[in-house]
Amino acid sequence: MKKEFYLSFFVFGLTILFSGICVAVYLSKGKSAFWISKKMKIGALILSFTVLSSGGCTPMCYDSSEPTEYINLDSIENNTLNIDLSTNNKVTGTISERISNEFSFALGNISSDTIFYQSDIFATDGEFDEITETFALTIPETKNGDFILRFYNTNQNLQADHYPIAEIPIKIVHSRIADVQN
Amino acid sequence: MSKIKLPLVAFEITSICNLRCRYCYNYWNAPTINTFLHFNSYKQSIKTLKKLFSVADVGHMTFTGGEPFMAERFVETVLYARMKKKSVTIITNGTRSNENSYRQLVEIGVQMFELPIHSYLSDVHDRMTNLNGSHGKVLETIRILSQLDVHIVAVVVLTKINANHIADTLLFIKQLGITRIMLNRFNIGGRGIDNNEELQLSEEELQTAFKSASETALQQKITVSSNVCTPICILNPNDYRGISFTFCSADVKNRPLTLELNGNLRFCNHSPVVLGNIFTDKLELILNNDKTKLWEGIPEYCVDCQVFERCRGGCRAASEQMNLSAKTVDPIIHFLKIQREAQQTNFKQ
Repeated sequence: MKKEFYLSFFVFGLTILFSGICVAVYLSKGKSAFWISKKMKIGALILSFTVLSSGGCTPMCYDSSEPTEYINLDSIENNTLNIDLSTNNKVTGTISERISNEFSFALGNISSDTIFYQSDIFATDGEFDEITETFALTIPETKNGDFILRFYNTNQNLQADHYPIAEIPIKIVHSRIADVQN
Repeated sequence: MSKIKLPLVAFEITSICNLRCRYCYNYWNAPTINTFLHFNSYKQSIKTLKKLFSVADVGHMTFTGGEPFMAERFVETVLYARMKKKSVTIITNGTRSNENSYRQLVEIGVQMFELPIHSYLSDVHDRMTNLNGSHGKVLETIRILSQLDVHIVAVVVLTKINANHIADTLLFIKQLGITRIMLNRFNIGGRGIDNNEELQLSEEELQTAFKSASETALQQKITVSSNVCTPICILNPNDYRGISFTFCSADVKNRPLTLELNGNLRFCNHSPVVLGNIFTDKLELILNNDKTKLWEGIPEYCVDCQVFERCRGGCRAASEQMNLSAKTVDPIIHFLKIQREAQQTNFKQ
């Protein structure tokens, strides 16, 4: 508690200093390399003492997605994952450029964009600790139909606070539960 | 009132650039644009970002341009975004800044830099960027950034000029210590409209280059992604397992919405169509207006396609760049058809 108090006090002091430097930068009309350098230094210091969200992003033209973590699945046909629950409920694949130690997935309805199942993903060798990791996940017994499978670089409990890192349509057939229309 | 959640916004901080890349997609470089006023202002940058952050909960900011390092007080603008708790990527041509600025940006937590390396041959790279010495400068920038231990992504724009040695280029990039590469096919727009004939690959050339890149990526363990949406009937991801393909989201909020300095918001950085202005229009209305809804439609060419939901007709922003509707399939379909017909005619003759 005492440590937190001193840290807050320190950050408060830095913020005051930063404000003063911003005034100096303003007075120099942004042309003083000296004051800009000081502004950046103190800014960096403040940032290092505050918790920042690393956020997430979607892929775009001329821009990549997040700095990390591509998901490749082993058995995709026409960009859809086909699961025949009468023969196999496992999905296998590879995560490359891995950084996170935890991954999870969610199954949702395409039309309503609602999630109805979440679970963690496990590395084949037990731990996500290498740059490239193979993994397996189990599709639960659910209704037949077309759904969306989303991947997260966090555990299943934290999905709501994160953006998915990948998604793919999934078609589930031969379930013992009645069909669903999407 | 709760803010609208936007995973990513690309901020075109300036339209000014020191290069004249033959393939440049920036719509203000299109041959039909004659009256565009180039923009560059720190004061306006902060004003626009302030407005954006007041109406939207933005996760990630990508600073682009133009050349962002030519923007007035660029590093300070990035600091502003970082202090608003946004993660940041910078798309730069790598020829305009210095070690001090890169260091400052890394110190404030910029996560990733994206730089072009179009070829292992300097003359090929320079020909594409239209600036002699640009290859050497970008290599120097990569050397600096590597020492600063930041994520670097190399961007290769695949054209007729550099496609025949793509495998060697990927190996060269790997030797520079970069293991993430964006392999983007030339996508018509901007200045590229005038240079289409010189740059546009035939279907066979495109597929051969992607095949070569895919095999190299698998052998060399390089992460290669294709980030320009391409119709699946042209490039089927199943045929290139070494390359990750991305496609445009149907959900406008998951698009790489692109913000101009004056507050104009566009669908993505390739689209020239302004959906609205965040200073004058409500964001919710911008994201649900008629121009936005046009993207939900199915192009006539794709009506019977089984994989449309995934592919969505390729890059329809490129259609807009060609003054076509966003409901028109990617113009690459049209170009490749013309090339095929021309080849058949030559064969008959």
